[in-house]
Parts: sequence; structure tokens; C-alpha cells
Amino acid sequence: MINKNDELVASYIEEANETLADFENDILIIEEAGANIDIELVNKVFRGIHSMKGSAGFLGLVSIGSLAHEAENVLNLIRNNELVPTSKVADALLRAADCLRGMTNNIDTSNDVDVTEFVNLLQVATTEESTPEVRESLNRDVDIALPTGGLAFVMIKEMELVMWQKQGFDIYVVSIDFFTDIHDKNLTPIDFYKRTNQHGNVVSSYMSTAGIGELDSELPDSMNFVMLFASMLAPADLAQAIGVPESQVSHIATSMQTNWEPSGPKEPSGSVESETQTSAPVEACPVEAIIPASQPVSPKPKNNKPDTVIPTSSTPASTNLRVNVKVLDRLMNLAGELVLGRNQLLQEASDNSSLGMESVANRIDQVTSELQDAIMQTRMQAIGTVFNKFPRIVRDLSSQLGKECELTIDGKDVEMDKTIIEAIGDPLTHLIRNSVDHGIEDPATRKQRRKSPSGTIKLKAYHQAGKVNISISDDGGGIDGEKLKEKALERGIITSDQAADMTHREAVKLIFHPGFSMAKVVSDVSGRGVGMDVVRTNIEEIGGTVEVDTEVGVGTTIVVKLPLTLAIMPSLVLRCGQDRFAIPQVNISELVRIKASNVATTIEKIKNIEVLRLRGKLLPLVRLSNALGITSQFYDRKIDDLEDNQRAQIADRRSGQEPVQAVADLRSGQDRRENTVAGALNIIVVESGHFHYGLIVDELFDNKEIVVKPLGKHLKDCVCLAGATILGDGMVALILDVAGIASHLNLIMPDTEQALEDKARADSQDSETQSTLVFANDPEEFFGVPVEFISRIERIRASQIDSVGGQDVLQYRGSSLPLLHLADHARCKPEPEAAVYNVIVFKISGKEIGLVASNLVDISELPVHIDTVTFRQTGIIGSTIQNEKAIRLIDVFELTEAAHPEWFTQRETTESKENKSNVILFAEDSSFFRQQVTNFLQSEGYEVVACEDGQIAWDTLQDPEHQFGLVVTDIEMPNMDGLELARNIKSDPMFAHLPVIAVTSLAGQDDIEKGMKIGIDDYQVKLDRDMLLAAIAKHLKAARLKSGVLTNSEKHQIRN
Amino acid sequence: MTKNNKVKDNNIEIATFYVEDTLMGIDIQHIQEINRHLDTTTIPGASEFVHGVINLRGEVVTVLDLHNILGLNTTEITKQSRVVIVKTNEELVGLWVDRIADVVNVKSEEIEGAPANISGVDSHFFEGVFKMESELLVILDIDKIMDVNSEAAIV
Repeated sequence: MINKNDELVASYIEEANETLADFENDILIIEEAGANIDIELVNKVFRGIHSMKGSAGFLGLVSIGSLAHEAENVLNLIRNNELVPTSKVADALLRAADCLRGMTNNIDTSNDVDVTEFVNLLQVATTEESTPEVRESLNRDVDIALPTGGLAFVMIKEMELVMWQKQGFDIYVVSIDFFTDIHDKNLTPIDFYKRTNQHGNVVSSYMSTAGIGELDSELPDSMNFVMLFASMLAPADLAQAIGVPESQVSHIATSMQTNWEPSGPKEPSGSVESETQTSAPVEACPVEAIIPASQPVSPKPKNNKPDTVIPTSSTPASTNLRVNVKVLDRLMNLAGELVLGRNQLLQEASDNSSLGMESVANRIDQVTSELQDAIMQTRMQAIGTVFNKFPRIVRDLSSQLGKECELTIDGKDVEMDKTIIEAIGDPLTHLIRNSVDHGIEDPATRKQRRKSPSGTIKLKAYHQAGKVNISISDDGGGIDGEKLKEKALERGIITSDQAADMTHREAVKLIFHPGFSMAKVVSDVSGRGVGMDVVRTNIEEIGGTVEVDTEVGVGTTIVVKLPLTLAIMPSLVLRCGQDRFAIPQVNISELVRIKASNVATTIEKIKNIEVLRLRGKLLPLVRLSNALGITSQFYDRKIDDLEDNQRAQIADRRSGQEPVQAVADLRSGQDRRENTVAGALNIIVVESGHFHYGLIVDELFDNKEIVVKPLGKHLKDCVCLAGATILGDGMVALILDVAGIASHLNLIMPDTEQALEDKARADSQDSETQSTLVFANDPEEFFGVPVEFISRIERIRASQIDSVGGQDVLQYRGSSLPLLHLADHARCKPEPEAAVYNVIVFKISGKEIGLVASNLVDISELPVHIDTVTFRQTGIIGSTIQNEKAIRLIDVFELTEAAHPEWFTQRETTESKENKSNVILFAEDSSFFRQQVTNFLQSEGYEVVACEDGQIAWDTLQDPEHQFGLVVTDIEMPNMDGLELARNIKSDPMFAHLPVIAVTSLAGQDDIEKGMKIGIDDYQVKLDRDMLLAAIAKHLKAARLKSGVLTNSEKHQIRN
Repeated sequence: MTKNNKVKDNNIEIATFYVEDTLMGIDIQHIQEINRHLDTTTIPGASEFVHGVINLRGEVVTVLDLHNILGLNTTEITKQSRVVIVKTNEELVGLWVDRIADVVNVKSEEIEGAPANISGVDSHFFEGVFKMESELLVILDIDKIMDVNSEAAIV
């Protein structure tokens, strides 16, 4: 027996798995094509299986060899158009492939596997589907004997030999000595086999330790490998080509009329006679060779070009090389190390600037970067390796479920890190199965819904924003958020209050809740305890995210976003105590900074837990220093001076790099040095599963792409740590595990959550709030602006402000931004002189305008019920009280109008008084906006009926008491959203003529398109009063034109 | 001495070093290198026997505090302190020692079983002792030291 050479077996397994990976898809395509075969493709599959069989022979893998052999026969028949690849044949091949895969992966026990069942399957399929002539010859076995009387091969299917001969091949028995022919020539059996295969095809082979007949009798301990070989070469050429003495090659001449026998002297060159004389003559003994009279096939002259493609001869030279992943990992590490060395070198070079040094450093810099890229590249694999198994899964599953599904695959070439490719297989399989099982309806239901009976699943991989997105979309039944809610209620996952508050999107997210199976009935397909929560966890483990977009009756799209590589993870580096830590960006939802002066008012304590009130919700806070048991070096006033020193150093080291700084998540570009002012709090809001909490850290540094390194076994108990990384200065920084920190503090977290909720609820008498940016120009005077209105916030130096003709403008981004001072138009104190101002930028009537604010306080949730009497004046809507301070809310439109009346004159003239008798139906759930919009519509002379949601609006519309001329609706609303309201209106003949204008705070292109499809006439940004009024006027006029009801002036216009 | 089956070659080389004032040694085959890479990052929440982690040419290597493992007083890091990098099956692990001494050639039959207690240290982590001219060399059982996690749990 051959020495068990592990390396050989390993490379065999790898190669076999590659062959089998493509096999399924190829067979499916071949099956689809039916009789119309794609010869190239069949050849490719054939070659794969063929070489699998051949190598198996070398390695003594009997079961694999014989099953592969049988599959090869079937493919050969298909290739020669003797067998139509019906679904039965395809099934048999696929099942054989499954079995082969099983055996390959358990190669040690593969010879114990009984493959008879699969062999029979293949044989039955072939026999049933092939022509009678073929069938007959299929069932006949012949033996091939050596002249000495020993049998070289027994029970060879006659059909196989005939097949080869029909293609112009001659049949040889070749004996190979492992020692002299392979080992002594420094070859591995596989190499040898591959080389051999370039010159023909192995029909059958086996190992013999005893030597074959007299072939190698002079070598007592020879180990022989005997092949039945089909080749187009003459014996001498063949012997030379494969590198064995000619004496070991025996030609087997055949004639259909007579029996299989050794070749006669008719061979044109390299006469077999001489060969048989010099050494062991080979003779074939027919055992069961009563061959029927059929077309005599004699070997073709050797030099004739065959009319069939020689399968192996055209294989291009391999451009790939197998490399052990461990080697790549090591290379990767070394490259990382080289990068560090490069960084230090660059630092040195720039410090001791000498020209020669600098150019060398630059060169090394370039080469290092390229080297690092190239090494990263070696770990990349095409996602096709994962995608390729899905056609089979979809095919099998849909036929099992009695459904019809078509799978289209896009973006197989997209490359990702090997580790990710390996990890993504299972979650994707689950998602694909879900699509077939729960997404696509059965054909009958689909017909009812007027869809084509066959469902479509689209699988697509593409690059977006430095990530790889994989989307799986089906045109099935979609996910019913209401049903999910019901179920979640039933199982006590959510409370009825929560259910009532949930938007459709939130409800759909419930499928990711642990223990939530999407199937209404648990089927054997998906009800295997693997829920969507596992999918989500698996994907999040490799730094990815999952999103679901679904519409009942239309379909579901699931988008999985993955990083390109696991080894490198964008992370935020921070400091706590003396050490630096990193948190992966995927875990971070926002950064919040609270000034020292505001800490006391914004941070509260519940049962000894600090909480932050962030946009109406209470967020539990964790001081990282406490969680890790280290001393925070931030709040301790005693050592503050010491610390200042150190911070300055750190700041200097990092000067010139982009600061990470945020007021809530509105990046304001404040000087990062403020970060380190003692007493202020830097809070990283992190997300761990469904749980958000704030992590208080001492200082924030940059976002960095870090290389993740595992921690050793002695540190496995550190639940707060996910790994380590090496920073630019060569020091190790630890990567924090936000879920670990949460569970580490488990004792307090869960029961507080309820308390937090309760407190949140008790605190807000009015649940409706409005995110408002609060600023102050004077310590006593607070103003608020709804966040929705703000396009951005700029931080400017006083010197950037120019005064042009009494109007302050800010020169920036190549144009000038007009500035507003609140004190110029409203009764309040002017902002104090300062070196730096904040400018809140709005967009009004298509123009930008900036409001100067000296001190930004916070973004808070303010109740929408405001006092519109006490402080009402130009530019101020009214006021509200928070933390015992009165906050005046600014009406930016009114303010702008006061400052720039010329921007608004145009509208006034287009509005003629007589048009205003129209009644507008206005649906808006936020009472703040409802009040605002109603106010200004009424002030323009329209009559407005305001409704709290779409359902009420729809009911109101049907009330015959009102006659409406136009509908203005918000999109996001409970009970019935704006889209549904619009759909109802547009599909009801009574109301279809009504113009519908949708108002949103942020109109995304997707939303607009969706809305336009439904029939929404126009989109306006909420509270852009000017544009909205113009749109209302335009659509009212258009509607009147259509219905022929025109106002007098309009009639007059038309007449002229 | 049955446990000493890996010391079956006649001649073994022992790299020796001092932990506090005790001369200790490890079969040189287990050692990859010795350096003075003491720029450790401390690990919050880790066991007391973990001194910290270091960056060893791109690998993050855990450094254990032999003083703590052996129940000795932890001393200050001095100019003579070194990290002995030990190869194990899974990973590299560093051992913080106070001073490096010579490599000693020892015949396996000259190694004696460890007494229950040497300079106040429990013999649990000792493989044996070797009597040198002037002092006693304690040979450490590297597997037990690497297993200090579970060992600690038992003790």
C-alpha cells in the first residue's frame, strides 16, 4: 500500500472539494440545457471528475474512485450525445456528488463507505435514459488479460472502451513503478498523474504490490500502479511522454467483431510487437466478450487530428499556487510589523532631515504599502465559492416544498477575506432557505396574487462605501409586521404598549429577537432552532450588520453588510486611565460630549446607576474605569495638573490629524483639546445586541484601522476584552468587548432597564417631544431650534465674518453665507464678543442662511406643547420650560423673512386672495409640526383640518361634511402612514383627483420614488414654509384647471 | 521521577535565571528567546499572575509574573529584568524574571526530585533540582506553569 502521505492526501481533498463545489451548479446548468448540451461545460465537469477518479486510484481510495468512475461514465455518455441529461440523471449525479463530498471530507473512513447505492442509481439512470444500443453495451463487461494469463483488468465496461475508441483513442495497459518511475524522479504520484493525464485518459487503475505478471519481476519489492489508459499517442511516444520505459506500455487492440486482444503488427509506428518482444507481452483474454456486430471501430492513425476535443490537452498552464493559510497569516503579521517599522523610520527621517535618508524612506514607504496590499490580497477569495452552493439548495428545497423558485446570482467575483467567506456561508444559507421557505409563496397563492407562479430570489454581492453588501431579495409574501407584533406579544417579548408604539420597521426587526421563528408553522426546513437571531449574531461577530426591508405581498430584501476583511477593523481609539483602548466602529452608535457645567443637570442617578437623558430616552452610563477596575485620570482634580501635562504631549503628537469630536452626533469641529478639560464627559454610546449604553471614557483619540490580534489563553477570563492591537508607536492597545462589559456588570443592568423606562415615562408627562438644539447667547437666555431644520453647524472664527452693506456674511466654501443675529430681530441680548462663534445653518427657499450662536448647550427633547403667548414675537414661536429654564423656540422662517423680506415677495404675488377658499386636509402625528403648519397655512388664508394620523385623515376625508381641495400628509405616522393614506386616496375614484403633497423632514430619493409610484403629487421638506406654500398653490391651481373650476382671474388669464 | 519522561536525553541544556534569589531553569528547547521587552500593557481584570502583554514583532504575547505564580514577593523591574519567551503548542508566553544566568549542561540522571519546599516556594511547579557547585538549580515544570489558570483553580 502507498505510504500515507498526509500532504498528498490534503491536497487531494482540497482539489476534490474544489471540483465538487462547481460540480453542482454545472450539473444544474447541464440539466437545464437538456439535449442541447454545452460541450465545453460538460467537458469541464468531466475533467474534474475524471482527475478526481484518477488521483483516487493513486491514493488507494477505492470507494471514491469507483463512484467517481461511475459518474465519469455518465458524463462521458452525455458528452458524446449518447445520453440526455434528464433530471433523473442529474439527480443521480448530484447524489453521487454528495456522497463523494462526504467521503472526501472523511477520507480516513472513505473506503468503508458502501457506494453501491449511488453506483446503482447512476447505472439505473443511465440505462433508463440512454438509447437501446448504448444500454446493451453498457451492461456488458469485459476483462483484459495479460499474455501470461494473469488478468490485468476485470469487469471493465465495454461501453467505456468503445466510447474512447469512438473518439479516436487507443487503449493501453500501462504499468508504473512507484520507485523507479515516480519517486526516483522526484515526483509525487499526483504530479505524475497530472502529467499522464495530459496525454490521455485513465479509464481504470489499481495498485498492486505484487507486481503485475512478469512486468517487473526483477524488482521484488516493487510497488506498481496499473492503468488502463486511453491515449492518442503511439506507444513509444506515450512511454516517453509519461516518462516510463516503453516496456511498461502495452497496446490493447480491439475490434468490435472479434475480441479484445493485444495489438497486432498493424501499428504504424513504435510497433507494439517489438515492445512485447523486449519485455512482457500483453495479451487480452476475452472472458465475456461476445461482442455483437456493430460498427467496427479500429484505432485511428496516430497523427490524425481527432474531430472531438481532447479534453485534457487544452488545459492552460496553472497560474495559481496553493499556499498554506498559516504562511499567509505569518506574512500578514510581518507586513504589519514592517508597517510599524516604516512609520518609525519616516518619523526619524523627517526629524533628521537629510536628503538621501528621505528618499530612501519614501521608497521604503511605497514598497511597504504595496507589499501590505499584496499580502492582504492573498487572503481574498471570490464570494462565488459561497454562492455556488445556493442554486442546488434552492432547487432541492423548492421541489421539496412544491414551490417554483428561480435564483439569480450577481457579483460572484466580489472578493473578501477568507475568514469572512468561511463565516458567512451558514448565515447566508439560512437566509436563502428562509426566502424559499417563508418568502416565496406556493404557485397557487402566487396565482391568486397575480404573480408569476415561479418566484424569483435575487442574490447579489456588491461593493459600497468600503464594505461588501450582500442582498437577498425575493418577490414573495413579505413579512407582516402586525403578525410579528402579535406573536411577540404572545410570547411576552414586548408589552402591548411597546407594540402600539412600534413602527413597521421596528416590528420587522422583531424577527431578530432570540427565540423568534418566522415560520407560522415550524417546518423541517427552517424550524431547526436556528433563528434569525443566530444569523444576526453570526454576522455581527464578523463585524457585519443585517437589515430587512419588506412589504407585505411584494417581497423582502435582506441586506447583509460586511467588512472587506476581518483582520483590519475600523475602530475608535480612546484613553482611560493611562492606557489606550479601541472600540470597533460597528459597536458605536454615537459620541456625546457633556460639558463640565452641564454634567450636573444632564446626568441623573437611579438606584446608584448614572443615566443620561438622551433625546427623551434614559441611557445607562458605565464609567469604563470602574468596569475595568482602573483609576480614571480625568476627574481627579488633585492630579489634574499632572495630567494636563501629559495631555498636551498627546495632543502635540497628534496635531494635524482630524479630531474626533462631536456635540451629540452633529460634528461641529470643535477643538479637540476641549475633550480633555477636566470635568467634561466623553460618552461613547455603544450598542450591544438590543441594549444601548453609554461608556464614559477619559479621552477620545482618532478613528484608526486596527489589526486585530488574539489574546493568549491566560487572558481568556477577561470578558471585557475582545482582543488586542498594536498601535502606531508599537504599544499594545486592548480592544474592548462592549457586550462583555455589559454582561460583566450584569448584576445591575437588567433590572434597571425597567426602572429606567418607568422613570422615563413618569418624567415625560407629555410623551411627544421634539429634538431641539438649545443654545444661549447669554447665561440667562436660552433658545431652541428644532434639529430637523438644521442643515449643519459650523464653528467659525470671528475674523471670518465680513460686513457688507450692513449685512454680515461668512466667507466660506467659495461663496458667502448671509448671517443672522437674533438680537437684530427679536428682543433679546446680543451675543457677546468672542473669538469663535457657532453658526447654525438653515436652508430656506433654496438659500442658505446662518444664525450666529455663541454657546451651544445641548440637544434636548423638548415637549411639543409650547406656550405660544408669553414670549411670542417676531421670530419666536413661543417657549417651553426645561430644568426650570425657559427656552424660547425660534421660528427660523419668520426670522429669515424679517431679515430678508425680498426672498419672500415672489410668493406673495403668486398668491391671489380668491384662491384661498380651499380646505386643506393635513395629516401629521407630531403635534408640534401639526400646530406649526396649521398656523402658517391659516395665516395664508387656507382653511385647515388637521388630523393626528393617516387613519383619522382617511376617516375625515370620507365625512361628507368637508369638501377638501388638497391633502398634505406626513409620511411616518402610526396606524396609517402617509404612503398608505396616499394609496387609499389615489385608488378611490371619489378622491383620486385630490392633489397629495407629502411632507417629510428628510426626503430620501428612495422615499420620493416610492411615493411618486403611489401617486403622491409632490414632496416638500417639512416646514419649509415658502416651498410648501408655493407647492400648495401650484397643485390647487392644476387641480382646478383639470376640473374646469377656475377662479375668475385664472379664467381671465386663459382667455388672454 | 516518572514525570520526567521528556528529560530522557542524557544531556540537557538548561537556561537559568533568578527569580528573587532563587536560581531556576527551563530546558532550553522550550525557549524561543530572551529579551528585555518590558514595555508591557497591563490588562485590567486579568489574574494577578499576568504581568501584562507585549508586542513581540507583531504578536501580542502574554507575560506572566513568575514571582506571583511561585508565591514570591513581586519585585520592581530593574535594569536586569528580562522576559523569557517560552514556546508552547498554542502560543508564545513570556515569563518575567529578575536576572538571567548561564546555560547549564545537566545530565538527566543527575536531576533529583524536588523537595517539598525550596526557599519557601511550593514544589508544585518544579520538575526537579540539580545540585550545582555553589547553589541549587530548580528546574521548572513548564507545562504546569503554563497551566497556571487551572492550577490556580485547584489550589
